[in-house]
Amino acid sequence: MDAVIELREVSLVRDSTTILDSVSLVVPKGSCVVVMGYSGSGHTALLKTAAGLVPADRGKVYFEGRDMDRMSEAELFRFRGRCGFVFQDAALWANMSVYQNVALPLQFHRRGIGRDEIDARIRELLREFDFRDNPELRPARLSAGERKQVSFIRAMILDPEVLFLDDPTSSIDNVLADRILSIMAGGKRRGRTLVIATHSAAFTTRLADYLVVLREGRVVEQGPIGEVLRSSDPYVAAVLSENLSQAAAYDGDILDLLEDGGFPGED
Amino acid sequence: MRGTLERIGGGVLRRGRDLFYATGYFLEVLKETGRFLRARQVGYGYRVLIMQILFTGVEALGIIAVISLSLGAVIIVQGLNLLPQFGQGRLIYGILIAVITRELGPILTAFIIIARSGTAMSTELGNLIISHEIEAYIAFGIKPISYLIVPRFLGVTISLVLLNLYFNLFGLLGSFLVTQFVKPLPLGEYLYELLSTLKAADVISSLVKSLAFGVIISVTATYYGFRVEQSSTEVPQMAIKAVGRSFILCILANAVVTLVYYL
Repeated sequence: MDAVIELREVSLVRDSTTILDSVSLVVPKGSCVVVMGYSGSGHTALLKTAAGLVPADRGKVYFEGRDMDRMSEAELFRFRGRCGFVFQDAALWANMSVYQNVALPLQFHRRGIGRDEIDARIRELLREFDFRDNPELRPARLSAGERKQVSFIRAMILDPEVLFLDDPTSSIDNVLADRILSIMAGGKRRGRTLVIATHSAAFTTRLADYLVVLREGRVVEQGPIGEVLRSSDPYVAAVLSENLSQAAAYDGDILDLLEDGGFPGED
Repeated sequence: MRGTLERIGGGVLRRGRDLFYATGYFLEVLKETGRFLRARQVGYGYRVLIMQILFTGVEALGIIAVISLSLGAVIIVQGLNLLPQFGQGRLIYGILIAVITRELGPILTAFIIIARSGTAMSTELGNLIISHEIEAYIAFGIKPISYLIVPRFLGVTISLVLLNLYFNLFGLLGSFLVTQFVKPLPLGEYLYELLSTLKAADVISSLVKSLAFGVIISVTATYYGFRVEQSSTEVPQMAIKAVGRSFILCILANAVVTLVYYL
C-alpha cells in the first residue's frame, strides 16, 4: 500500500529534553494508525510532526513521497488543504464565532466558493455532528465538549484525505464520542487516512489497522494491530491492557486476544 | 576567568542569533506585505487591517488630541512670555514647528501607540501561541504572518502617520486657541506666519519619522509576541521586552532622522 505519511528517523528536542527519539513510521493510504503511550510519551509531538506543524530537529517527514522540508509554499498549502487536524484542546480561534471558525479554512482553500455553498456545507456538518448550540457564539461561551465538537467540524470542513486526531475523546461525553466514532469509521470506509493519538478503547478497537506504542519519545512497538497486541514486551502489554481494558463493551474479540495472547482467527 | 569569558561569549552569540532571527522576521513581513498589497482580490486580511486601524488610530484620537492641545498651549504660553524679552517674538513659529511638527509630534504619538497597541499586539499574539491558535492557523495553511502580522504592520504604520498629522493639527490649533487668551491674533496672520515658517523638509522629516516608528513598533511588538513559547508567564515578559525595545529603537531612529535633517 502507498504511504501517505512517512517519518524517517525523526527526532525532536526541546530545551535539551528529547521529545521524539529516532521515530520511523509509515502511514499507508486509507489506513488508521493509532498512537498510544502514557501521558508525556510524545504522542502529541509525533502527531504534530507527522502533520508538519512542528519541524523535526533530525530526520525527515514525507507526504506522498515528498520531503515536507522541500515543499514549495504552494505545495505546502495544497497539503494543508488535504489534511485536517483536531487539537487536544480544540484550539478554536477565540475572536471568531463558531460559524467563522468553521468557514475560514473553506474561504481560504476554496476561493470563489459562494456564501450559500459555504453556509450549506457548514449547516450539513453542524447537523452531522449534532451541534445544537448557536453557531454565532464565540468559543468562550461553549462547553469544553462543544468546543471539541467544533474542532472536529472545522477539521472536516475541507473533507480532508488525511485526518489527525489528538486525543479525540477528551472532554466529550460517550454519546458524542460514539457519534464521532461512527463518522470517523464512515470516513475510513470511504478511504480517508486517520492518524490518532488516543487512550480510547473504542477508537482503537473499531478504527485501528496499525498500532504504535511510544515510551519517552521512542517507538517500543509498532505494526498491524494483531501483531502489536501479541507483543511480549511488558511495557506494551501494560499500556495496552490499561487502554483497552474497557474494550469488552466495544469488541469482545480484543478482550479475548488480551487474555489468550492471540488475535481470534489468526494462527 | 574562563567562566566569565564563556558567559560573555554566550551572551554575544545569543544576541547575534536574536538579531539574525529578527532581521529574517522583518524581511519576511516585508515580503508578505508586498504580496498582500499586490493581491488583486480583497482578502480576509483586510478585515483585520480595518480593525487594527480602528483600534490603533481611531481609538487613540482622544488621547492624542488632549496631549497635542496641551503641548501646543504650553509652548505658546512659555514662548509668548519669554521670547519678547529678547526681542525674538516671531521665533515662536519656528519653535512650534521644530517642537510639534519635527520632534514631539512623531515621537509622542509613537510613545502613545507603544503603550496602547504595542503591548496589546504582543500580548494577543503570545496568548494565541499559548492557546495553540497559531498552530491551528498553520494546520489549515493560513500563514500567521500574512493573515495576522501584515494587517497589524500596515494598520499600525498607516495609523501612526495619520495620527502624527492629527497631532500636528491639534497642536498647532491648540496653540492658536491659547494665543487668543494671552495675546489675541487674527487667524489669518497666525496661519500665514506658521505656513511661511514651515518648510517641506519639516513635513518630510515628520512623515519619515512616523513611518519609521510605525514599522518599528509593529515589527517589534509582533516579533516579541511570537517569542512566547509555552507558558502564560512569558506573555507579560515578552510584552515588557517589546515595549522597552520599541522605545529604544524609536528614540534611536528619531535621532538618526534629526541628524540627517541637519546634514
